[in-house]
Amino acid sequence: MSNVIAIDSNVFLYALLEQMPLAKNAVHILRQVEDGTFQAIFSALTYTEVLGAKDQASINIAYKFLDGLKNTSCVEVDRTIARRAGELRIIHPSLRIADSIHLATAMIHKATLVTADEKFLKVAERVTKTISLKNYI
Amino acid sequence: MEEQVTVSSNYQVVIPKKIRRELGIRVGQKISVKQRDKKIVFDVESVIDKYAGSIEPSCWGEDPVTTIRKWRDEDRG
Repeated sequence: MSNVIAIDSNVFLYALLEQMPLAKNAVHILRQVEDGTFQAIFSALTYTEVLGAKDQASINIAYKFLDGLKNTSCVEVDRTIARRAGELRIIHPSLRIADSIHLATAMIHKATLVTADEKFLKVAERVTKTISLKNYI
Repeated sequence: MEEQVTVSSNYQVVIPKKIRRELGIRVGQKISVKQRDKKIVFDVESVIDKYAGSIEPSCWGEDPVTTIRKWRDEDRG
């Protein structure tokens, strides 16, 4: 497994939300990032996806969380990632645009993709290394 | 622990070695810098300790995977 991991938006949310079933797994892997076991990246798209919180205070917490995690970098959606995402969608038509951007981000940075989304995982594991949050720990 | 440091020409300061060691501060680590009246506070507390489990599920709605999957599947592009 690569020591760089690409974290999908749902992992951050499991860590942030109270009493979530996968919270323990999410916090565990994020602590491993903070202690330097892994370097982590996440797509800038994650900022859009955490906007699902219903109040501004929760959104602000999510932003502070993303901005403050140690050993973690946000990756912009640049031309290289956008092109790779498009290519992935041609090969795997079931991939949605957001999925393909997260996946392309992981692939371009040679990172292992971490997600709790089993549907996404089924496609992602065909093209890159993956970790299922459900089976982690 | 308290030590005096000098502000450089481009406003940088060096965190004293003793404090770096004590707090395990590494090169590239992100540290919050806050103003507290006439004090500057360098906060090295982990955001995981600070924020994990801090949002009530009712502020989000459904399970994160379900919600995000719905949004991604709404994309018909």
